[in-house]
Amino acid sequence: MPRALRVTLITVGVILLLYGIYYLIGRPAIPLPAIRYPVPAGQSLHDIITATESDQIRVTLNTNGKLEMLSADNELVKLDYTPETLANTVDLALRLAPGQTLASYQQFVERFPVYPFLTNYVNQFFYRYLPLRLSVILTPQP
Amino acid sequence: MKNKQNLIKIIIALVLVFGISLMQHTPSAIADVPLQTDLSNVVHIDVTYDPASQTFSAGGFSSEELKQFGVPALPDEIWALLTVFDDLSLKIIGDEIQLMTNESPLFSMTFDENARTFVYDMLNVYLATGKVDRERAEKWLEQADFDITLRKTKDLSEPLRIQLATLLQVKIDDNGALSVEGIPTGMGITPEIGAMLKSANIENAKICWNKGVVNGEVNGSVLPQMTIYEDGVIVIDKALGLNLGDLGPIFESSFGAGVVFAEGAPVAGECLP
Repeated sequence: MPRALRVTLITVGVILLLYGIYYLIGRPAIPLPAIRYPVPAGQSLHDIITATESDQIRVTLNTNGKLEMLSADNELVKLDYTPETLANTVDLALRLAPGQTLASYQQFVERFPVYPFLTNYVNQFFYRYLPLRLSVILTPQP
Repeated sequence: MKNKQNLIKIIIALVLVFGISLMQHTPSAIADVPLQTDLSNVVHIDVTYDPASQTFSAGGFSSEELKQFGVPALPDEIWALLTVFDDLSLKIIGDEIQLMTNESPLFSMTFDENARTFVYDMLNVYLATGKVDRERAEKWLEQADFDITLRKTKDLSEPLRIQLATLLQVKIDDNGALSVEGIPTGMGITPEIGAMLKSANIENAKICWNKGVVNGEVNGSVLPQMTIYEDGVIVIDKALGLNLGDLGPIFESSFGAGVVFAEGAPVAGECLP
C-alpha cells in the first residue's frame, strides 16, 4: 500500500476516532473565547446593561440552535432555532429590510448562485455535526 | 509488516463503523420547551367600578386606558344597577350562566340560543363601533369558560388571566386600523409600517404566547421559538422606564392571535402546546 494512502487512512481514522468519542459524550458545543464589547452610553442597550445587577449581559450563540441572553445567573431571553426556522427568519428580515437590501441580495445570489447552498451547508454542519459556542460579553462603557 | 496490515484493518473498520454511525445520525432536539399540559380554555376578567365617579377598570386596564381603546362609558341604568351590589360574579360555563353576589347565588339560567341572541343584540347596541360576529362568538362560547367578577372599589382591577387555545382573530385593514374579532379597537399601525408589510408581501401571522414561550409564523413559515423570562422583562422595564406593572399574571397566561393584513388569507389552527 502506498505511504500516502496509509497516512491519509490513519489521519481519517484518528479524526473519526476523536469524533466518535466526541459523539459518544453527547457532542457538547465547543466553546470559543468570549469577546468583550463595551457599549457606549446613550444607547438603549447601555441602559439595559446597567439595569442588571451584574452590570453585564452575556449573549451566547450555541450553533446547535440556541441563542441566549443572560445576566449573571438569570436568563433574560432565549431563542431556539433550527436551520429551517433560521432560514425563514433571514428571508423575513431581508424582505422587511429598508431600501434595496433584498434587491442587492438577489443580485448577489444571481452572481453567486452557490451562495444559498453554501450558507445552508455551513449552517447545517455547525448545527448537526460540530456545534460551537460563541459568547459576547456586553459591558457598559465607563 | 503483519502489524501494519492489522493496524490498517483496524483503521478501515473504524472508518466503516463511524461512517455508518454518522450516516444514521438523527438531528438533535432543539429546545427544552416546558410543555403546557393544563390548558383549560378559561377567561377570567376582573372588573372594578366606582359609582361615585362612574369609572370602571377591567382586566388591569384603568378607566383612561379603556377609553383610549375605544370602550364606551356605561349607561346610567347600568350604574344604577351596579350601585346596588358590592360584588358580582358572572360565570358562563358551557350553556349555563351563573350570577353570584357576595358569594351567594343570585340566579342561574340556561344560556340557550334565544338568550344568546338577546345578549348579542344588547352588545351590538352597546358597541357603537362594530357588531358582534355571531359565528365567532358562538365558537368562543363553545370552547371557553368565562369567569367575570365585578367589585365595587376604586382599586385597579386584576390583570386579565386567560388560557386559550383558540386564536383571537386580529385584522389590520388597508388603512392600518386594527380590529379584534371584528370589533374596531381604535388603534392601528402607522402608514410606514403598513407600507413595509405590504412591500414584504406579508399576508398573515400567527403568534402564540404560552407562559413566556412565543411561537410565531409569518405567511405560514415557522420562526424560531422565543422564550421571554419575567426577570428579563423586569430588567428592560427598569432600564427603559416602561412601567409595565405586575407581570406575573401575563406569565401565567396562554393565548394566541391570528393577524391578517389587508386582504390576506385567514390564519387557521390553534395555539397548542
